Amino acid sequence: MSITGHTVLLLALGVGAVLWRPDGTTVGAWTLGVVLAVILDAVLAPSPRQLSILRKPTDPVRIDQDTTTVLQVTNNGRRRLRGVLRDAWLPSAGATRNRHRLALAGGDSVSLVTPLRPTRRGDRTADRITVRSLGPLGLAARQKGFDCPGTVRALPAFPSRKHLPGMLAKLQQIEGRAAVRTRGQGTEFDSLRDYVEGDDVRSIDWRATARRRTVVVRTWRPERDRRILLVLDTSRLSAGRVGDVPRLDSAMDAALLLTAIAAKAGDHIGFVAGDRTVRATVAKASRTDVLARVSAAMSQLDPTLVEANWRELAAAITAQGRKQSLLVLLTPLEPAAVSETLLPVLANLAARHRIVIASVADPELSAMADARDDIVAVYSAAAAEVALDARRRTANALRQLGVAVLDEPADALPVALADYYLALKSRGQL
Amino acid sequence: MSVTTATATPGVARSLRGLVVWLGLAAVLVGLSIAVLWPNEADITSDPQNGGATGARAVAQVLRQQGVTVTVVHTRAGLAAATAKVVGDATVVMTGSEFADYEAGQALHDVHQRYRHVVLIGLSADALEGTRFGVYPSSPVTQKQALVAACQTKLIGQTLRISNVSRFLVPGINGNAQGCFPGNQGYGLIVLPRAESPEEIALLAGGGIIQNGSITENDNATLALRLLGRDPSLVWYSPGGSEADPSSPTPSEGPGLVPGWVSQVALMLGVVVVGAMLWRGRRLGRLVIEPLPVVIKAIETTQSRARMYHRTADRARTLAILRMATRRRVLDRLALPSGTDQFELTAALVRATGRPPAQIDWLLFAALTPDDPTLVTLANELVALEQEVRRP
Repeated sequence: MSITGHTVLLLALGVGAVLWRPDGTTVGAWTLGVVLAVILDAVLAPSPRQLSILRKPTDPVRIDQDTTTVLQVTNNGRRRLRGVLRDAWLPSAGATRNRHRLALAGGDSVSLVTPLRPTRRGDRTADRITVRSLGPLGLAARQKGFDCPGTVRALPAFPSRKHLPGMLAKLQQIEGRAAVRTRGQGTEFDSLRDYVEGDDVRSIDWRATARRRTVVVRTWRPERDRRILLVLDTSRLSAGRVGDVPRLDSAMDAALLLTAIAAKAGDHIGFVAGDRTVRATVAKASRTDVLARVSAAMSQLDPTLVEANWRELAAAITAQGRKQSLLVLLTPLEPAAVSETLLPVLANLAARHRIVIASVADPELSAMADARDDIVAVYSAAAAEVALDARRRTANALRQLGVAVLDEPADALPVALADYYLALKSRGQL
Repeated sequence: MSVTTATATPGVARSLRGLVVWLGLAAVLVGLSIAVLWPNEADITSDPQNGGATGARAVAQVLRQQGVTVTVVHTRAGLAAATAKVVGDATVVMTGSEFADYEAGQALHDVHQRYRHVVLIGLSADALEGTRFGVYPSSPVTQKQALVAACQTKLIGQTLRISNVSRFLVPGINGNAQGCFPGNQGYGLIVLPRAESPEEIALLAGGGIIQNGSITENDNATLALRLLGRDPSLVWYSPGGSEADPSSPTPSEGPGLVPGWVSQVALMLGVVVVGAMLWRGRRLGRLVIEPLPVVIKAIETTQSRARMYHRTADRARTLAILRMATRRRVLDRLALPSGTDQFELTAALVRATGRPPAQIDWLLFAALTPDDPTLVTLANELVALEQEVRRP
């Protein structure tokens, strides 16, 4: 039960009555009257239980994209129900205008639309629906909660999507160029076509020419159907926040851009995420649905405060196939953790796969190393130099194992990783 | 994902309980307002209609059974009216309550000459002052033992004992006052002779002897009945009624004082505020708890290491670190191998920047840091050198 502003207004009118008849009994009588009216109104209010509420499913959206959730509210009773309905969601689901006025005659039904705008990754769930049914006098209301489960899946933000057109243009360039000029190692036969001026004479297929009247050249294209495996580290290191974004989210961004490009380039993408254990895997995804599947798998991931168990992850990598064309490890380049847990496993993996490590660098660290205004800043600069030096040494140690290392700030990492992939692709090194 | 259906949360008992709570709240509210607004005789201390432990209904009933006509008045007007009706010998008793104030004492003083016996029981300092009998109360005491009369009058035997009192009475400059039940700060009972009447005025310090809870202790009942039962009729003045009397404006509502309706309006506004609290305080559904993942600022470890360096103030090591970093970057910039020795590096830097070799050698290898300002200067010099190498 609850009271409305009208009740308070009615009580406030009592002040006038007291002024008119300033007697002790006036206050008591007025209050008693209002209380009785409120109780009567609450008793007369139609029960919220006569409502039935259905929730329609909501499609997944990316973070900070708008969507809606729809409730179908039906009044099963005979009496008219007036009141308020609140569709409560987790704060990060971004359900801003979630209070709806209700005025339903008996048997009527209405669709209530609550706008949603998820601000955090993962399954954002709905909490209780609360209905407040007003009494006929508008003084009091009966309140009732309904459990009506609902979920909106918030996919990773993918801010580097803006680079996608540029990257795809580059990819087409590579494919086009390869078809016309390059006849390097590792390219594969695509088709035969008529010779046009400017074609490399070395690509003339004499056997085919002999069968036809015109000169025929072979065309080439970059290899397709390469296997690329993305390995996302969700351990304690990924919980580190660089600027405003956790490293995990930046790594996801880079992984998504690479996934989108590689899918367009015709390669197969696998995805493994984990820390002490494997948290998510995507295998045998088709080129069309791989981006959606990887996004969905990522949406459920949160950093955990444990050390990564790279042996376990290496087993999961091997389970995805004995030979990968490219193994992308999205893990922070933290010297101590890398040397203790990753390096021993990496030597083994590097023997079988081409590996690139993509790490989110912290621009604040470089800024700290450069600032030398006062004594505090100088000590900070020294600490930052030590950290930078350790990272550099770790990267060097990894490079000596034949592992490529990309240590870039969050906004540059996706592009760097995609460029690296395209460079390999254009050289036919996958 | 499919369409989901709402199920009402279980809780008939809960809502019922909620209703009970609401009704209870309303009842308390109404009860409070009534209790405040209707001064209830049943709650006045030492009142003959109060059946509680602090009331005095028992003694009033016993007096009635013994044939004494007990007239109870609560207001000054009532006392005057009852006095006007008195015929023959009568006793007036004034009992002290929360409402016995200076005016109440004055009212008694105005009428006491009309009575044969006058008894005052447990009056406050204000009320005693109003009676103008020249008797004052002592400060409160804790008297554990019963008091013994230790005086001889018609009324009181030498060995009469009454239960403990919370304070004593002190006779003023009136030399004829006789004190009984002496304690360390005064007397439990004072008897004043009167000029106009052979009978005295009896003033009792504590109301305990007539109160229901303690009347059976010691000789309380004996003394109470002896004091109050001497005449066929008894007027019992127990201040506490509403003094609102249209014929005589009460002195408390004189000019310059707060008008009476202000408190009523304040009370009504209080009720409005309570209503507003109930209105705004009721949430439309419970709060939703957001599970938050743990996220740590990545730079924090480095920052705390910087604070550690600062605390230990190891300038030599700090400078060594900064020099090492500068040397490394300069080597990269000049495309020299990392094993380049001091002299080759100095020579290369002289070529690149045009600085004198001694200065470069001092900056990169020789200089010491005796204090913090020197360290800051050297650190900035190193940055300047790097920039010169970068843009020759």
